[in-house]
Amino acid sequence: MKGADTMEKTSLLSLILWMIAVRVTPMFFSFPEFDASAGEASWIAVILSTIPVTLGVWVVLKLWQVDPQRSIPELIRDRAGRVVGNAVNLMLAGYFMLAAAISLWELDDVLVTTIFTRTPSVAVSGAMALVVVIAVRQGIEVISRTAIFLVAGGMLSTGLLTLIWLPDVTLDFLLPLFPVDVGALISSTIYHASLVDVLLVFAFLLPFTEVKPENMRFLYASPWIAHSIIALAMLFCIGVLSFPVIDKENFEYLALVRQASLGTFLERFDPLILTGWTVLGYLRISALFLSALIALSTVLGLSDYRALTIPMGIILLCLSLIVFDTFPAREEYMTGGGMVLNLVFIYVLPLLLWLVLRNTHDPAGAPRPTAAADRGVSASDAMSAETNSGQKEAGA
Amino acid sequence: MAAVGVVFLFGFLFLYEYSRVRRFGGGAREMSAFAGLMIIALAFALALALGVEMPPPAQVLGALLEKPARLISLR
Repeated sequence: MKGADTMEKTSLLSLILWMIAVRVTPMFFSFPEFDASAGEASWIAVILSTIPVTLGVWVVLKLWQVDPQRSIPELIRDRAGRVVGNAVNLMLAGYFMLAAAISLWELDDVLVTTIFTRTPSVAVSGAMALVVVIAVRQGIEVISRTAIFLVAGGMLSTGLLTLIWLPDVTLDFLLPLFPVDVGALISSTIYHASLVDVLLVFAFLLPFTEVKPENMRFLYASPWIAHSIIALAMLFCIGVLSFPVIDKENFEYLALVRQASLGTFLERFDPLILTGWTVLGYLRISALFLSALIALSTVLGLSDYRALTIPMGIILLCLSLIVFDTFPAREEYMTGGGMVLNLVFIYVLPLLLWLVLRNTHDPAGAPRPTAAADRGVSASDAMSAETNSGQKEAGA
Repeated sequence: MAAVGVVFLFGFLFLYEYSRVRRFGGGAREMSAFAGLMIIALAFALALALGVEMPPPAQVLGALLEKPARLISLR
């Protein structure tokens, strides 16, 4: 991995769009927000959960500001000591690999159930894993640049689809708007806050982003945008199909899409939409996989994470094939032990790291990012340059 | 049969990536990290190809953290 100061830099806009895609994407597949105990009022809990998430963004920004030129794993390793730092980074790598495997499993599950019914999971997941490995080898900047077009296209198409359902919304399905069970609302708010694993990815990718101090406020806006989109989607699902119907579905948003048609012009466009959503799935899995590679390459003391992409891609694929036995097991994990795991990694760990690391100083002789970059520039730049020249030749 | 395919595929991938890492200046550290992870990946893939029973990792981890999850009383 190159040091953050010489590694390719991504723009703030593309990073924000990418992170919004990472947060929003699960709703297109398993829609975990509907698993909350608040039931039809879960959309309110989604909005409420934005408050702890915004606090989480504040903590992540504080952690990043401890040393903006250094990636989070490097910061942990250099300031917390090699043994403790490597242990924490290894845990982070494992966490990201598990999250990426779960995302890959969810994507595979929806595709194998709805479109590729006769295709084995290993082929569907393998194809996506291959795309992710190739994208990650191209680098952060390339993925974030594609995110601009993919997210804009995804949002636009889904937004336009929403207009089709507008006349079908039954207001009675949405009433009463405010639930009586406050306890369920609180626990659901905590659950929704646990789904924001993007917060940690955000912390990992910020050092590779050009952020001006006056633009910091936009970082706080992104969870509000993402959660508004999710809450609106939930409202539409309930408003069109009613909560008892949507509660029985495994793929809630897909069930809604299947209701829509444009007369005889386009009767069924769920396969078309699923293709677009698959692309968004690639953005999510790439972000999580990339973060795992950044953490692991720091543990192994490598100057570039690219050497790890193929073996780790295979491990990701294998992990995704066994991560859950059944679909209900996923729900049980997400609302049970997985929620606790997420809360620890997303909120507790960054807060602890910030509190501990802000008062520590660089030990004498700790490798600065420039030094690490100097070692890594030749290998990684050459690999990127070769890829680019290959593309140019192919283009010519 | 599947296991033989997996071994061949890994052999090809190893040669491809090994020569690539070497060509672009990867040091001994890169080489050993790559080779070590390839061995782990091969073991994992072979176990899957041979149908070795493995516990679902997320479910095992989830079961370990079930007690604190109950404190939040979601279910």
